[in-house]
Amino acid sequence: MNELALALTGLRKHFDKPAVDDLDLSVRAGELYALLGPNGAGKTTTLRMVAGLQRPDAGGIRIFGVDAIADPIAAKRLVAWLPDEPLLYDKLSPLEYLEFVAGLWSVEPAVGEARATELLTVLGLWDQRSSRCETFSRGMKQKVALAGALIHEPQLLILDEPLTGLDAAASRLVKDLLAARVAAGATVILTTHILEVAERMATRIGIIRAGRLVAEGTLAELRIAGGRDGATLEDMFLELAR
Amino acid sequence: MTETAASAGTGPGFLALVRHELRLAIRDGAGKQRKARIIVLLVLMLVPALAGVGLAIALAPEPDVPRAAFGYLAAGWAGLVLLMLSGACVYVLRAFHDRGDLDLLLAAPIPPARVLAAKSVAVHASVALPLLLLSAPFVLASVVLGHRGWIGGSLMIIVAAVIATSMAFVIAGGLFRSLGSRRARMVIQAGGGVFAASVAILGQMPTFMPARFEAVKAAIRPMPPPPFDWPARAMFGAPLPLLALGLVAVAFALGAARLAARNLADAAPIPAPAVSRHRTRPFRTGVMRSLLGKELLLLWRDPELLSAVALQLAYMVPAFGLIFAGGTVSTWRLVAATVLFASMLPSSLGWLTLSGEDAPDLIAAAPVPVGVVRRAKILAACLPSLLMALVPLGFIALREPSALLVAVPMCLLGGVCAAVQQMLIGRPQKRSTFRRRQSGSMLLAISEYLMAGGFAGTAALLVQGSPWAAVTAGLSLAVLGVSWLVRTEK
Repeated sequence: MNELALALTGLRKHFDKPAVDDLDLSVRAGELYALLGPNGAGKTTTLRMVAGLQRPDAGGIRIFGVDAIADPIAAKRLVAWLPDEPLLYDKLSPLEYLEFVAGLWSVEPAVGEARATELLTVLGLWDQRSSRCETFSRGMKQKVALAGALIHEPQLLILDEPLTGLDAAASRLVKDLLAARVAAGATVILTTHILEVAERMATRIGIIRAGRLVAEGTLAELRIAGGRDGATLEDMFLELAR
Repeated sequence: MTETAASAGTGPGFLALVRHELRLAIRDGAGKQRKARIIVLLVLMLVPALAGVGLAIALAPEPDVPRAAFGYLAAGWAGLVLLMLSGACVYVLRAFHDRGDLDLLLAAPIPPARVLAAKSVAVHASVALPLLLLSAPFVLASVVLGHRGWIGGSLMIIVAAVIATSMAFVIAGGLFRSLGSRRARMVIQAGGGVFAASVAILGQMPTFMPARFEAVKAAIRPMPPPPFDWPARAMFGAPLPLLALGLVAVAFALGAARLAARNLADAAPIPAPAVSRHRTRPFRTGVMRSLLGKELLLLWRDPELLSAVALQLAYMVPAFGLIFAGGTVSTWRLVAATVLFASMLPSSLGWLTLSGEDAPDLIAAAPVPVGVVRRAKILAACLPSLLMALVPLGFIALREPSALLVAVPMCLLGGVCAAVQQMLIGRPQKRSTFRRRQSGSMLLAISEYLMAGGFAGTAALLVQGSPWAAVTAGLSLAVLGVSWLVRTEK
């Protein structure tokens, strides 16, 4: 599959120092792309610009060929954004939250309702569908937010540290769900500090440092590029991110 | 256990904990506007300082113990205890329900009783300090001018604060235990708001009901029988009543600490989950309906809403007093009061819907134009007040139907402008910081009143057919224009 799900060209964002610096990055449709980097490398800023939450100072963002800067609404229809802090309303129940998100993405009510039922069941939240989120654990909140991200069946799913705060079972559930979405043709871009997740799940891995892409490829390609046959991703990451 | 570990086990002392609590209370909500708040506070303190010293000089020739005023003073002190009780309930709620660092402190190797006592002292101090500071210029000047016994006034403020706070501990503890923390919180907040509104309404009694006010004054004027005269005597330094009431306060404090504080600390920090009925209706259609539905649902479930409405009413009572001066009710007065209400409440609700968005990134990441989101939020802020305004609008319709031609559009205009002002000036914050809204910007609060007052005046003048309505309308629109000029970048 050669269609590009995401194409970043010369992307720049400056706060008090450059956060993203002339970044070129391409993600093919149907890939699970892991964006790695040390704290403050510019991963979240990059993904927030892709999700339409921040305007870049310069450069281009194309999502499935749609210019996300010129036509942000069209681009946002294709994207779901799941940050590390769940975007929830404490006073809404999971079902009410999913109804709201489905409405924002103009999902047909009957379709949205069916998807909400399916997602809450798969994520083990059906019994809590009418309880308000205020008393949920962090893991439960993260699962509700994930259901919200999936309810409009995005073509491009962007996840910033999606496994933060999840227990082993929930973590496995989320990983399986992401793998299933990729198998169904969706594209997933995720950041994670759990390198084992990137190593086992990602089609390709990009390593970013000081707002620039310093390495990219499959695990095998990264090993060859680094000239360290048999090295773990952690070894290569620590060397490249230094 | 090593010596170091053993000595570390005793933890910080009581005074260190009190200092910690007071530091948190002082820094509460200060943030980046700390300097501005200090300047405003200093300016505000100038007024009681000048007025207090002036009053002390004026009362210098009075006898040391002005017996003629005992009736008023005893009643006033009882009223003060009630007033403090309302505030104390909210402080107790913040200290024990909002918890903050309570879990950390209780998990530390410190005796729990010490932690709770320190928290209690901080609540007592928070209740007493504002009035102590306000009255200090008068009391100190009076003492210097020869009325040494009047220092009892300050001591009686402390006694009132301790009794009120102790009662608040018992009430809050009982509510927590019987209703659960979530409902208790709601009852306390709503009760505080209703109580403040009632006090404000009572304060306007001379305006609304002058004859009834005179009758009440006459009833409380005579010297009350012992022991009801003790508070008044203690205020002027009578040692025995002062000692007796001091002992009562200590007994209240100790009893409350034993009865209630422990219950509060043991109360579940996480409220029991609120479960809505399993829904049967289908999902909503359309972006606007989804946004509006979500905003109205969140407003309805907001624990601050009831107290916000009650407090808003309380703030409006003085203005209502002006409108209905002398107890006269006429159409133009009714229209003005209705427009004032419909123009004020959307400010608070607008803060909740527009500034207090808890998932701004979700909204920003959705394929929805910003304008649609804003319109839905403004509409959600205006709808509740418009619904409530239907009652007075009904009265107006019965009295003079043609006045509705002014009242309805002015209610809409006032409400929308109030919400738009929030959109322009309000800074994005967590919804849970609602109680600090007014302290965030005093200028914003003043401009809200000015704009709403202008629209109310416009409505009143239009009903009377006065061309001066253009001037008051211009004033309100000018306030909105200034808000646009100083709008915050979101």
